[in-house]
Amino acid sequence: MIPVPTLFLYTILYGFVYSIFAVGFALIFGVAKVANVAHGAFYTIAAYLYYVLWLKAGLSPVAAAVACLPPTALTGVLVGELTIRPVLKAPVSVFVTTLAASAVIEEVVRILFSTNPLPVPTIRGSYSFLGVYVPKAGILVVALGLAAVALLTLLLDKTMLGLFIRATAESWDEVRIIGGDPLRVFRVSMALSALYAGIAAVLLSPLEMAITPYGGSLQLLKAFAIVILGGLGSIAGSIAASFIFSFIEQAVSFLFMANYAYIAPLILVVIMLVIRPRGLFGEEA
Amino acid sequence: MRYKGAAAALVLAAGMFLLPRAGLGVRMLNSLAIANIFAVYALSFDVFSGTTLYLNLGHTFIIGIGAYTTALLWRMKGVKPYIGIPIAGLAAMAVGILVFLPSLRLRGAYFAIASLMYPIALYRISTVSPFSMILGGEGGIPVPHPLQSYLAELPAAEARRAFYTTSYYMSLLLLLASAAAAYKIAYSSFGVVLRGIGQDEELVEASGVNTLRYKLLAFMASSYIAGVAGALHVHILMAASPEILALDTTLIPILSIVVLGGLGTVIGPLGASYITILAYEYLWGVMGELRSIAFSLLLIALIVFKPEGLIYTLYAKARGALGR
Amino acid sequence: MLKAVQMAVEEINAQGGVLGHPIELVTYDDENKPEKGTSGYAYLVEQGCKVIFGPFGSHVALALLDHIAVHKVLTISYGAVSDEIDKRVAADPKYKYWFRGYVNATSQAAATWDIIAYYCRKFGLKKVAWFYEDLPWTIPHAQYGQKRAPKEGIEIVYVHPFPPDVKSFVEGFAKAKEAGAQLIILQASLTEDPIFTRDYVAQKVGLPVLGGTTLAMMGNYWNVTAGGCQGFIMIAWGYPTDITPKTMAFYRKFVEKYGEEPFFTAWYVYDDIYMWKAAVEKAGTFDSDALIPVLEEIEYTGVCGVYKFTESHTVLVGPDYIYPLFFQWRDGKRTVVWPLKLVKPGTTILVPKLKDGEVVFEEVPWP
Repeated sequence: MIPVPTLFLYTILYGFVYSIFAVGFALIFGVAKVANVAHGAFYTIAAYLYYVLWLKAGLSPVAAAVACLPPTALTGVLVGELTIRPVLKAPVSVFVTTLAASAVIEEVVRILFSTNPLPVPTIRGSYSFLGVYVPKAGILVVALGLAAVALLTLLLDKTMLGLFIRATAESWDEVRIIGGDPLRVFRVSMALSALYAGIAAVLLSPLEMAITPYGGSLQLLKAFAIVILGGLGSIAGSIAASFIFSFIEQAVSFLFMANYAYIAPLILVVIMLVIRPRGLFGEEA
Repeated sequence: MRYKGAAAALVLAAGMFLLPRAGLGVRMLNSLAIANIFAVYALSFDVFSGTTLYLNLGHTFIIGIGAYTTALLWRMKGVKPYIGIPIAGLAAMAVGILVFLPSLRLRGAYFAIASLMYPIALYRISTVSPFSMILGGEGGIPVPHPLQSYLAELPAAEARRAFYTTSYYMSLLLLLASAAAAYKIAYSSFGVVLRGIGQDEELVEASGVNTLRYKLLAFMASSYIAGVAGALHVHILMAASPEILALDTTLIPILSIVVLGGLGTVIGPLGASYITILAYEYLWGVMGELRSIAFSLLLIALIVFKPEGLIYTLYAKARGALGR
Repeated sequence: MLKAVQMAVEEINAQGGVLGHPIELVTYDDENKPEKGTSGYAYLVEQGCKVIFGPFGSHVALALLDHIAVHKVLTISYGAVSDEIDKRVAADPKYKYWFRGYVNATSQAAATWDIIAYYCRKFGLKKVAWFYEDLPWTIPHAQYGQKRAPKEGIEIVYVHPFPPDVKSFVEGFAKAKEAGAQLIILQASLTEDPIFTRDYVAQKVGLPVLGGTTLAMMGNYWNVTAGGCQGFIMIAWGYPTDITPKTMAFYRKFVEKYGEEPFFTAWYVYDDIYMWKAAVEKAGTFDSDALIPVLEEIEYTGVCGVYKFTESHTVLVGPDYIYPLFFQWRDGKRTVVWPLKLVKPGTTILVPKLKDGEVVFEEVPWP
């Protein structure tokens, strides 16, 4: 007897968080055609800033959540300028520099806070809705997640900035023709990317209730799988793939054993690579 | 010029053979052996990815297959290392082709991230039961040193040093063989085609060349060498654990070496490997826990300021200075 | 863990060192990787270390065994629980330089099952559910449990392996109850506890929980789970109670000096260092070969219990030797419930029960 409503709820819940995180990664991939492996570090910085501002500096959880985002976005721009822009022509090098940057950030966090998980309080309690147990924290996550994804889609489709971003993803020369500066677009994209990684961290913390220095890396591994599943370079694909990924995790957990949920989505991606390497929505390479 | 180059290579090789006699400590010997292995990893990576520019970030997956093949052969059938290691190479090659062939349809960074999925998936799978039991659980699978029986015969005083010198020599032999193979591939007409694929695959295809065949052959060479190296690695370490698949343990050093050394060169990975492995090791004495941060920052700086590869640039300058 | 080492070294030097020599601490971080482990070991030997404490990781230790046999330097680990290591040490005398000043995986499992069996017998429980983190370290626990349970008349009616990033235990609890489980055994080493307790409370599971997690060994567990661990009986390796006359003195000193509780590895490494000191003083020398027979015979009372080594150079496990403690969380405080000889008279424990759909805790005298 599979509790379908619970399955559905958790799929949506985690689907949003995953998509917010994956989209940031996919954005940079689209704009600069490079893999920013430091994306996980943005998550980590946001999570720890959130923790410090809320539980050490005494801000309210909402204020802390908002306050931790600008420094995260700034970190995104810095990482972009120092480790990606100088080596844009060589994707291998970008991989190494961003990985090294991520290692530095994680090491610093580890030295400051140790590897012990730090507890993050959550909104306790749940609603019983149509016989389904819905954690209150979950409702908030869905609401905010929906808002974040909607905002990004609006940004990309309806604004001037969005136009420039999409043009840059097509070609850097093309965007210059229409009057944009690809480097500025890149910087803004890095800020946005890091911002969204930060939002994902803030949303996930009350669900996981503990932060560690390596949480960001773990999320990044999932993000890799998600963007491949969705098709590299497709924002919509990443969002859709996030929900599919989340669904597989939940379904396998409910139907089989929870531990297989850890590997099932990855196996799916590997199979996908064999039969349809470009992913669900990717362009033919 | 060719002969001078070959002579220089021979001198270098001879020097490396005589190194242990220079009275080096066992810690240095151990580090050099590991550096040799990583140089082979980097060379094997370069053979395929350095030329065709298909960045196979799943290289650690291939290495891992080699490592586990020999470990499992030992555990289940008692196969000795000198048989197990070459078979491991073949297994790595076979599995590698099966798994990566479809992805070769992807281009550029797409292929890179896709290939990354394999070691991540295998690493995860290895932690989950029942696979974790097959692959050795917490301790990993213990395997013997390739010259175990020989070492057992030696008197205690000699055995200690011999343990490390033999590891060094074995890894050195593998390194020299791999370097020779890599050199041959890189500077042959085969290599020219590969580099052409790296520059502009469509153009090469348009001139009637079956690029798939070339990519496949290069991939096979790369996988075989990597598989053998992975197998030798675990025999020198004497345990095969999933850590060998992990990004931070193996892939980052390999990529660092390749990038520092200069993508597509042969001398680059050699020099870079020694410097990278030894520097990281000896940094402990200097700055302890902070070495990881210092190393990463240094790496970023070196790559940003010398994208063509520090070692190769130095080498080219040296050759220029010597009037060749 | 390093803090305990530093504390021990400072104390020993303040008292005149070992055999009149001050001891110097040299460290190396193996980053839990076998390669770094072997380099580090060679480094420490090169630095002239007379004894090496560590490593912690089983896979690092396994890779290190042959190196230890080659260097012949006394190595005492405060972790590395894999039974594979014990098998090799027992089989070949060249590994005699290895000692584990801690317990191996199977004895950890055995100690856990001791209390599970007692608890089930006391309350007449026959069916248990086993929730465990699906990582390699739980394999020996699985193998041991499967053999021991039938001997104790206990049936494991439901098994729930969960991944490190588990999101919910809702269906796990539901299935466990469906299978008729009367007790839940929990094993984890990462950050799953807050999620477990969140769902445990919200789902009104009402079954006793017994087991061991890394988070539960820390003093702030009550805060981490926001009180959801009420009634949980969890394992501790090293605990502030009178295991031996030395225990509380160590605990107080550590907390005063560092402002935090010692983590479980800290307790054992502290003992291992002092035990080595005792052996050196008995043998009158720092020589590894001379120390081995002394250690093989030693019976050393530390802060965690009495250390005595078996043939495979691991410590004997038992209430009179080295043994874990189990304590119950109750309103933010911990009460020792096992081994029985350490339970204070007049102790009661909380037993969760379901009454009119709500979870209540019944107070029962213990033992």
